[in-house]
Amino acid sequence: MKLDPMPMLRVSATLKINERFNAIAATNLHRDHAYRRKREVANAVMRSESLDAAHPFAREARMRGISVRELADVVAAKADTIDQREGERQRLLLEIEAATTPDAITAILATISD
Amino acid sequence: MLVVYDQASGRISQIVTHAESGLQAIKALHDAMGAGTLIVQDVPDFIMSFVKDGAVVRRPDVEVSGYVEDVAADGGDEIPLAFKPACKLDVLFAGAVIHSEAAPVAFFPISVTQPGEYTIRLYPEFPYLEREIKVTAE
Repeated sequence: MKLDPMPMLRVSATLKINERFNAIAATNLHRDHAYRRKREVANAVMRSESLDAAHPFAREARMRGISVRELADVVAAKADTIDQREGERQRLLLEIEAATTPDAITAILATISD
Repeated sequence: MLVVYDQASGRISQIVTHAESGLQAIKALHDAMGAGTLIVQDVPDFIMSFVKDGAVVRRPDVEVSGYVEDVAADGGDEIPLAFKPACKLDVLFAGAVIHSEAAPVAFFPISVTQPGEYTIRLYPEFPYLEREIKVTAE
């Protein structure tokens, strides 16, 4: 029996990475959801689609004292945090897949610890 | 005090140190239910002991042979581990279970591919005590 810890250490590391990103997502649940929704509306505004004055996006623009188009520019300029996090998660998973020693896995996991 | 145990296995299920009605009365109740009972002077270790031939004795250890503490992490240096009796087992590395044997094995020759400490947890049938051995690979 040749014991190789790497396959199970990779599985364990993958679970830890997913757990960490799930925790981050849970912390940002409302904001991420709101940003994603506003980004969809902002894209529609930038495509010159009409927006009802009672629409929450238009209400927020009035609250801020800016035009709908200006708010759309602000929203569109912000990074998509969900996509950013997913990119980071995939990068870590690929690093775990490529790791050849337990120490390498430990070092990768150290970068996501609290 | 009164030791109550399973007659088939000798496994201790209760230790009664005091009873208002007296230990003999409690003993009679357990005897009537078919449990094994034994009056002893000292409190036995609940986990480490069992009842054999009418006496509280220490549970036996698994015999391990072929064990060496250090091994080369080259995948070729084999440790010819053998257990008596055969045991179910887990192998842990860095806190993670990396291998399990769900059915009892008597012979478990191993080699390792990565440096570090490997812990082998043995789960024999009762009354044998569970045992842990460590192998360090460099």
